[in-house]
Amino acid sequence: MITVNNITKSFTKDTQTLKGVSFAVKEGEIYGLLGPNGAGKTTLMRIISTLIKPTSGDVTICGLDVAKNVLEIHRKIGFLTTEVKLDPLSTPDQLYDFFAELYDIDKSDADVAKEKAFEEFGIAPFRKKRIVDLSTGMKQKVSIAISLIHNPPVIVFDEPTNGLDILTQKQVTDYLLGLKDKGHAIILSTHIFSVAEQLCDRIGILIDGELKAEGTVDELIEYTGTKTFEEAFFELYVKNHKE
Amino acid sequence: MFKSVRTFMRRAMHKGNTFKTTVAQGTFVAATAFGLAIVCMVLGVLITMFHYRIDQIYWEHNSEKFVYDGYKDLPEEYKGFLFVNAPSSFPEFLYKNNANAFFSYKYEEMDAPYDFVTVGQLMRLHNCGSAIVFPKNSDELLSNGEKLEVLTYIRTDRTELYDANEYQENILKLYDKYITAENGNPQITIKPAEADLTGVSTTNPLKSSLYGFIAVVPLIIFIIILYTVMTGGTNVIAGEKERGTFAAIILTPSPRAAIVVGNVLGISALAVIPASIVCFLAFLLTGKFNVIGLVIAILLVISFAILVAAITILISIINQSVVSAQTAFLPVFLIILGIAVNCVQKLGIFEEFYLYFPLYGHFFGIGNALVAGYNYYTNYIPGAIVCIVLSLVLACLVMFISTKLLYNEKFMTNEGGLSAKEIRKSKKKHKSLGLDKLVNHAIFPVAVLSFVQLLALVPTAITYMRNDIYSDFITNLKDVSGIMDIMSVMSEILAMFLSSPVFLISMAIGYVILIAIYCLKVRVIERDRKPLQSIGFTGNHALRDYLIGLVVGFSLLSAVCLILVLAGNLSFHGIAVNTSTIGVVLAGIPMWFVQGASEEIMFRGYMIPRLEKKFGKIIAILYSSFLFAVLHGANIGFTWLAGINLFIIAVFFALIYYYTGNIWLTCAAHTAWNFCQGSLYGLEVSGSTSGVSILNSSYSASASPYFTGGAFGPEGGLAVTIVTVIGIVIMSVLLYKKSSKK
Ligand SMILES: Nc1ncnc2c1ncn2[C@@H]1O[C@H](COP(=O)(O)OP(=O)(O)O)[C@@H](O)[C@H]1O
Ligand SMILES: [Mg+2]
Repeated sequence: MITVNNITKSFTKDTQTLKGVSFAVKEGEIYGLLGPNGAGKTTLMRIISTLIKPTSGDVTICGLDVAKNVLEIHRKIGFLTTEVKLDPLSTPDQLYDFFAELYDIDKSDADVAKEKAFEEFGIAPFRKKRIVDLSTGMKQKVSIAISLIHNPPVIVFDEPTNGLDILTQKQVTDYLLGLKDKGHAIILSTHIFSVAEQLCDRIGILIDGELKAEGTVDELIEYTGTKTFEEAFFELYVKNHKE
Repeated sequence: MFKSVRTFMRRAMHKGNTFKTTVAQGTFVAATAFGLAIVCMVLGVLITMFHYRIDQIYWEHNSEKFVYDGYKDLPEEYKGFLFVNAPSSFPEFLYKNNANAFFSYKYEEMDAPYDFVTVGQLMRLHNCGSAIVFPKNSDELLSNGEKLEVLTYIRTDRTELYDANEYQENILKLYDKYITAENGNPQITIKPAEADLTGVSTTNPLKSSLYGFIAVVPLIIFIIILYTVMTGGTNVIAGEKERGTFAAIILTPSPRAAIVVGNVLGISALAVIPASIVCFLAFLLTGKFNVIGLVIAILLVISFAILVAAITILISIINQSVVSAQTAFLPVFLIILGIAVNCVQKLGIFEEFYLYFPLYGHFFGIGNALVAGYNYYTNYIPGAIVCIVLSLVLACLVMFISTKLLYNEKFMTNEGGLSAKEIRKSKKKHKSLGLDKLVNHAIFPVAVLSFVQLLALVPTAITYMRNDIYSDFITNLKDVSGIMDIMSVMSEILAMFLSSPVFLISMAIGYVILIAIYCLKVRVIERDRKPLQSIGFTGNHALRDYLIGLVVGFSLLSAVCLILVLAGNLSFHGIAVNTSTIGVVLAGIPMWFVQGASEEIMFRGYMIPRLEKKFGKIIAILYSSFLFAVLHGANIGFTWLAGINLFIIAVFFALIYYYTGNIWLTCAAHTAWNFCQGSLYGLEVSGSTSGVSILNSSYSASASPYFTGGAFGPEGGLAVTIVTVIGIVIMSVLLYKKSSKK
């Protein structure tokens, strides 16, 4: 469903943030990008969701080239990152309606979907409060609800559980698992092992802009010849990170 | 596409208007001041609507009778007729017809018979109701047997003079017969119609007020639109990028064109609503309501708003934060405002082709539509339509560019997707340009000064209204008409206010408030709070420095006066104060005391060290001096020379500030300088007269304004330039010595 093909990205002439990354994600699969801060995870996700263009390489989603079909891609993809913020002075209600209009969703359908989503995430009690007045967890829930407003087949989440308390974290991961069961293809990035370990079907280890290894948790442990996933990661990191 | 356009439009209207930054607030202050001026102007127009009733004129010639009703109750001095460039046989003719018994005649000479402004002023000067303007050298023309083309003017603030054109024609016809009898054939062509296009001579009393409307209403509309569009347009895209909410919008499948068009339409709708209300109100005031005019005016307003909004959105896309977008918009704001002011100046020499160009066309088109083309450019509609179409085409072009830019990742999100740390870093880099700092340093003093002066005007105005002495002035106000007259009356009122003791005392209090505001700003409001010493109140010898400063100020101004006296431009005639006026002089002393101190705090103590930290000494001195000069630019009698002088005076004071390291000495010198100028030697201080002074002085008839500074006072003349330049040289030497000692 998603194929990432030899992506490179240079922000400046002499540094390469991404150095030829390739992988593919099938439907009904959660693919995790695990890497330390600054590895290039966010950059890669921004490229997948068309916010920035790769220096070379291409990404296809549902058979469409991302670079050439920007607007269609937006219908197929739900993108969520901590840097995409919601207007602080609007209420969840207003925001949902606004984005429903922009995704061209029928008003009556949108209303039904809104009630359902608000119910599911427990947004209903604070739907009339302004975003500024909400806690980080509440905000994140609203963000998720809104980024999935158009029920996209492909979901790209950058650090979805960052800064959340354990309860909300669990709510979010449960929700993602539910989506996976419904056949959505999901890419998520994280720097937290436990999240990757519990949630992801396959994991790609991204270090210094390069995908160093890829596979299920067990495959990675086997590949590195270690006992736990954590050890496997450090093994890869020490081997590949040049200081 | 249309649905998303609508969505963005609604959102832009919803989100558009927040008072966000200093720039916006500065503009707001300017707009408020302007609004006050408009209120005064509208009051003036309303006052002109209460006219005298004028009763009867009776005129008889060779048993032919001419009766004109309307002059009976007119005060004697208004029964006047003005004759400009009259041939020598004309008074003779009048005398023979015994006309002098009924009316009073005034004779004047002037160069351009079509100069309705001067004619209007002469009529007002002589209290004449109508004027007949002959060509220059009319005697010569007559003796050459040439025909005279004569213009007839009437004052437009008197409905009762409706028939005066006829009356003037009658006089002229009779006069024609009179000279024809000597020369043979008719000698005069009368052209009342020509006079009609001037905006002064017309049968409609509203006409000259209308003329004012053509100038003022479009100006208000321009300011409303520019202001609303600036605050709204910078708050949407640039503001969304700053708040990080723009990425979510970019990620939706709505076309980028919809983002641009929707925001442009939404923002312009925000501006069109108040502007249209102004149009409508203006119609009510002109009484020229007509549907076509209203439609054209609103179409012009809409197309102007769309054009400005398109430019703003483009700027908003290029910038990453509200402040930087507004700073970038400021030049656009000033240029368009400059064009509007240029249009006001061009009203007298209007040419039809202006109507066709955007901005110029908007200004003149709106004006014309409001008065239904009542003035001479009746056929304004084709020009307006071309102008509307042209500006919409331009707006589309700008929006097209904006759409293309929105596909560039650099402009899509904040800093092209930098991590939070890098955003902070690059923001610092952006700040180091410091443009916003410069703008703030310019706007803050303006805002505070306007605030304080408005405050001080309130008690002045109240006292003024309660005082019987001024009722005369109010009655005279009825005589006012037209924008020129209203302007001159307003400046008269203002001059009167400014020289009233109540204002002086209120202003003294105002300056205290101003100093308090600056202290508060330093101590409480600013993020990096500092002690009061940071606005220049430092040093161990405050009293000594202050006394030296008084001597310095006194000697400098005495030197200026000495130069003027020696050059034969100025002379003194003894002492002017007596026991009854000494109080006013004494009341002035605290005024000068706080006034000097407040200006020194603003331009030296506060501004220089803060500018220096960012831009270095040279820029700090030059920029603060530049602002000092510019802020005096609105004063009466301001000239380029005055500006240059104020600039070098400020440089001189800045050097003293650097020499002493505090503002005690400059405060004292400033106070002493102004006190000597106004209250001791009786001269104008930067354009304002202080009324009472200790010495009685007068300029000689041969005095050159270049030397004495004319109405601005010595600060506008070369004498001050000489003294200040010498002062700067001395200070430079002292500073050099001081630095080399270290
Ligand atoms: N717009 C940009 N310009 C220049 N460098 C960038 C930009 N965005 C990201 N980078 C650089 O790319 C690298 C990867 O960043 P990022 O993708 O945010 O990492 P991660 O999300 O894995 O922590 C960082 O070193 C960052 O400095
Ligand atoms: Mg990241």
